[in-house]
Amino acid sequence: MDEQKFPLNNVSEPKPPEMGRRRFLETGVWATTSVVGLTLFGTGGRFIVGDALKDKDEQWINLGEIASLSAGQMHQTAYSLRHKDAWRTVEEKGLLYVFSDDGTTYTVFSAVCTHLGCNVHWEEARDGFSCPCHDASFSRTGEVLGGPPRQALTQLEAKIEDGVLLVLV
Amino acid sequence: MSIIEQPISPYREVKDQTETSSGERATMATWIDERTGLVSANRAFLSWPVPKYVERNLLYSLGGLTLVSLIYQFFSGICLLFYYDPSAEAAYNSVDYITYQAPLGWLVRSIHHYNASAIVILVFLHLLRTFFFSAYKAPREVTWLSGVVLFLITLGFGFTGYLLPWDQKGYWATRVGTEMAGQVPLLGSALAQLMRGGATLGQLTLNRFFVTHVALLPGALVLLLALHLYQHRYHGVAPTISKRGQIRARHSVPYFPNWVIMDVLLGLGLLALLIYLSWHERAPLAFPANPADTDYSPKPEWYFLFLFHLLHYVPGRLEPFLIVVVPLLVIGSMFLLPFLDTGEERRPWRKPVTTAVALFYVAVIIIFTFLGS
Ligand code: HEM
Ligand code: HEM
Ligand code: FES
Repeated sequence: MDEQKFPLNNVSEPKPPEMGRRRFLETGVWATTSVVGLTLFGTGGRFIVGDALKDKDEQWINLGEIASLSAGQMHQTAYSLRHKDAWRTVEEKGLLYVFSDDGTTYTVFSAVCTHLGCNVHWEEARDGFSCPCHDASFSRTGEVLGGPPRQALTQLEAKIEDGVLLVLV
Repeated sequence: MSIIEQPISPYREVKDQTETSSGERATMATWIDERTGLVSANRAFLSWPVPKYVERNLLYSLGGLTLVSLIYQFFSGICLLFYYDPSAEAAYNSVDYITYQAPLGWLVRSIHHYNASAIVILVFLHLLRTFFFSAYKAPREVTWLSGVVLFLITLGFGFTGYLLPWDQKGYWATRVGTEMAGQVPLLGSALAQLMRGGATLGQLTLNRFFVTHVALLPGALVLLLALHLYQHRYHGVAPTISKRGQIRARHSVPYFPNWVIMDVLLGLGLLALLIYLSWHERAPLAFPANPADTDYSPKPEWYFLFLFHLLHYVPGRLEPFLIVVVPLLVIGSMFLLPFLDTGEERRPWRKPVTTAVALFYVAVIIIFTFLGS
């Protein structure tokens, strides 16, 4: 700065009362900025987090007549459902495995590997599931047989109404 | 008669030289300079003396080339934004349109695609250069620290950009990537949900990744880069480590054109390479994202492959540990480096421990990248 026009060096050594006033103003600037900053970041932060931490909305989906799901065999079923994703209604797709010993009680597994979320395959020859991502294997009942996963495949709640299999996804 | 009565700033004194050069241009430059100070500031910026050992030395051009590569990336990225549609239903189609129908769309997208890899390689090489030349030592700690953050920002760009086409590749890599964050003890599931914007991967995830890719990270990058380059100017080029360099250090050359010429030529070469690669094979686009697919075996972008592949060798129980400890160890040691290695010695062969640790990291990354591919 041009020292002739802005004699800053006069300001740099204030007398005691002047000093108090300057401290006060400095504190004022910092305090005001902090209030504004906290308000902005608080609002923005809460807004950005949004509903992200909410659990998934569960809903019952129809997997069809049990008559078509023969007992003693593993069935792979892709489903799709209308799902509200924030402001849009979207088609959500997923994959399930359905099995029944006797045609009265049904076990339904989500195909999502409990390790890092790839979809598992059913392997008839091995009578179990395998995951292509990190070579995990699961038994027919979903137990971990090998590989990195630490939890059994997720079993979904299922019920039969009027001969139709319903699953909570 | 000049409107400024006294020369006050060191830059303003340079102004007088304008008057000695003849003709209209000098008058014009003087006029602008007296009102803005920009001409002389620019002249001072360009004539910055640098030690002669940086001249015609590829290793000293890595930072500049990274910068050029970033400029290409911003340029192509902003072009892509004219057509890209960040919605789960339309993202794929917009990228398909860019790749196969928009005039020169294949070129713009492929440049962005190949250059993303180029940036990661160049940043990494520049990091190794400054590491082995001990350029992180006092008083240049902040140059190094801002560099480490720039490195993380670059990887963040790669991670978020990969999802944007909303194809199988991006979808599954992101599913696995966010699940990995989910393995972090205690905070994991909250972290994964915050990244995805909810319990599952969907529109909100795409929005989050998109905003991060085109607004947050570019803003952060520009700020950090300003700090990085200002620090570099403020401290000057770090001392050389070679005997030959010490002899050349006795002379200095102006930053422009002597140092810049290399960056510019290499930048041209890089652009030619990017155009060639794009012409040879345009950026790939897999099938549209399909969460019900069983045959798709996800693979992350090659620069995240080593971490992904390391998972094959760790028992599930130890995995949360690996996911937290490996990145913390690598990033943590990068942050701590300038405060741990504080000795005078700059030659890597004279401080075997630091050098060995770094070579070990580099070897692990390279070996697991190759094993994974
Ligand atoms: C360090 C800088 C950056 C890196 C490493 C990077 C990386 C990437 C990657 C890997 C993709 C996926 C491309 C593909 O399909 O193969 C991508 C897509 C995209 N990026 Fe970037 N990017 C960077 C900067 C930017 C900037 C600054 C913008 C705009 C402001 C931008 C806008 C986009 C857009 C719109 C897409 C979607 C189109 C597409 O996938 O082809 N990027 N980016
Ligand atoms: C976006 C990425 C980056 C850009 C655009 C960039 C740019 C530059 C440029 C242009 C220079 C001066 C020329 C040169 O020495 O090559 C430089 C110097 C430097 N950079 Fe970076 N840099 C980046 C990332 C990094 C990273 C990741 C590190 C290390 C962790 C780093 C550490 C340094 C250091 C220590 C110097 C001073 C070198 C010296 O004085 O000899 N930079 N950077
Ligand atoms: S995701 Fe299934 S084994 Fe890793």
